[in-house]
Amino acid sequence: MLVANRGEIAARVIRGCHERGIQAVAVYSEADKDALHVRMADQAFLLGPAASSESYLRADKLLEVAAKSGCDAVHPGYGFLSENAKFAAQVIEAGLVWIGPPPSAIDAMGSKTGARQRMTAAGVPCVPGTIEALADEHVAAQIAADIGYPIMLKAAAGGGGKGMRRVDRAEDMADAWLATRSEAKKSFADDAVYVEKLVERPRHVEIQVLADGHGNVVHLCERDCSVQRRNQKVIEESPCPVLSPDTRAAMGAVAVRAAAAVNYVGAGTCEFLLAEDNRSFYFLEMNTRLQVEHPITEMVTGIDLVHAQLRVAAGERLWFCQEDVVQRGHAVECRIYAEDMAANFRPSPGPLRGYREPAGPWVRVDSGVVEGMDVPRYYDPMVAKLICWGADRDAALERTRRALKDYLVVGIPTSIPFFLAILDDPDFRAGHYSTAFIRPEWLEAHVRPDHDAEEIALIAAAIAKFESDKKSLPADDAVTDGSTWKRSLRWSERARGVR
Amino acid sequence: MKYDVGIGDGHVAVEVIPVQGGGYRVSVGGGPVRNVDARPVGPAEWFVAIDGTRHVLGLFVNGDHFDAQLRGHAIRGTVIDSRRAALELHGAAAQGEVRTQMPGAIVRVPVVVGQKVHKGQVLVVVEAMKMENEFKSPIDGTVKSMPSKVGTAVEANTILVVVEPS
Repeated sequence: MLVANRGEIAARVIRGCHERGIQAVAVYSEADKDALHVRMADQAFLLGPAASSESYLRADKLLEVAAKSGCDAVHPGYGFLSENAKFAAQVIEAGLVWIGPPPSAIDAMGSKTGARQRMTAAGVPCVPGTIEALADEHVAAQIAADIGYPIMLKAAAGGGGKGMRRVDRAEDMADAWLATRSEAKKSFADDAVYVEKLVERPRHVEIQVLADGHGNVVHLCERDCSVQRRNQKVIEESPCPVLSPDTRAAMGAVAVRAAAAVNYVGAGTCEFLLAEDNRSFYFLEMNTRLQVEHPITEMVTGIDLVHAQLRVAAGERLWFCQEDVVQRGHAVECRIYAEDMAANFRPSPGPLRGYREPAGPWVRVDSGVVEGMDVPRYYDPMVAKLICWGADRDAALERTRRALKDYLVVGIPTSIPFFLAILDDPDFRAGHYSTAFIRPEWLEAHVRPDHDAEEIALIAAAIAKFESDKKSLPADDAVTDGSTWKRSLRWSERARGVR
Repeated sequence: MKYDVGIGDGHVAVEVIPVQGGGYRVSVGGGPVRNVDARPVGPAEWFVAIDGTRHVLGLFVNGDHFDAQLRGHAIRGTVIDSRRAALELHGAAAQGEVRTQMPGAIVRVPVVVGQKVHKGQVLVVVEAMKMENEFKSPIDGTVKSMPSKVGTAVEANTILVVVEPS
């Protein structure tokens, strides 16, 4: 199996391969030569320089590696080329098995406007708006007036929170139109933009689906991914704390219908907006790959999604039916980002001087890093995922809190304090949250230094410095009394010299 | 020994006196003396007991910089011999130094040497992990030197711009 990815997901897929007796071939960029996925794989090949465009996005090199290493199949992970229908087709043309849906299904779901058309035709409820890319801002303003402000302008080829903009008033349309188009053009090389009604304070709830190549499609229940920052998910849980069994069943049935409508095969995710009534929901898009947050589904359903992908890709029929799928207990995932929450979530790549993952029952860490490694600056800042299971939501949240406090990361700031603050929030604890949960005011109130911890740290730092200075001074220099001043000066000169 | 420890915008003097037979007497900011027991327990982990209360924290000291982690909080700072601090680091020049916090690549430099800038004005934009990060002037003044060039890669803690106070 060629694992055409990096980081935690490459490690995750390699584990799945090894558990099924499949040899895994890793690929890496120059920045990742010592990375965990490279260490874990049976073979590893250099793709090129650090930039993704010269390494992980190079379809030609990936196919070359697959051929020369004798691979039978390609797992794309998520991101990079995972939703690239052309690459999927090239893999299949090369006589390899593509661990994912057919290129036609990727294509059908890849363009947001195209997907809306297909879904509307299949009777899947979508957010009111256009289903075609719009000609200009006047057309956009006309439609916005019809469906009512606020609306969202969205890049047809967009994703990952990029290329979308809220518009509240008709007079803001012209500027927003230009900005969205230029961002779309820059990020996705496609400036097609459409309009959608903005559902206020929605929850982001998604359904995991699994389809075999024999027409069987099941859903593996939902994940609530409402807690987002800059439109990117940070913490996910399953089940969704406000979803009734009836709504779950209805949403699941719609997701199955959506997958069937594009002849889906493998693991995929239908994303929905759940309105404030906790009942009305609208299809947003389908992600035609394994999702970052797939582990929480594995934890509550007991189904290993990577194994399932491999079995389905090998032509197996689904070995269970919808009635067999049960959600047991509660699972929570925190995405550990290399970001400094005290500095407006600035990315914080750098050396992991100290790193130890939490452990204990029902604590799972999917990570792509080890102690001593440098977190490279070229890729997504997510370095690991902490997934905790509990018999109920409170147990899962308390286990998550304990595990976050046990997580040792020294050298780079991470999102760990951010998660601890979320876990302390009474609204979050009560399950009352929406995609609007993390607001600037919330951050203002919760992102504050822990002064007690700072005092302990500064005492320890001064002692550590004292000890290291003592060690680096030659014995004949360690004189006392009147010469301390001179010694210190000489030390500083020496220190300057080596810098 | 006295150290000047900086966290964020704040600085405090920490006096460390080793005690014969083990341990230290430590005073923070001229406050009461604490009895501290401390030792490293790993490459980046320390055991510290302050007046009998024990803590295990992540800590790595690299030259004048330290990275610590306690109860999930990451704490970054500087720890410098106080006399040296007085000599070199608290002059006016240091105030106007703009340094990278993380490695990245310089994508924009909207100012030139000699230009008058105001506090908060964007001086350099560095890209890391697909995010653009603006580095702003900490003071009102004039751009004195600017080693940063568009397109170059920079390590953490590199001086990008020096602003001379006006």
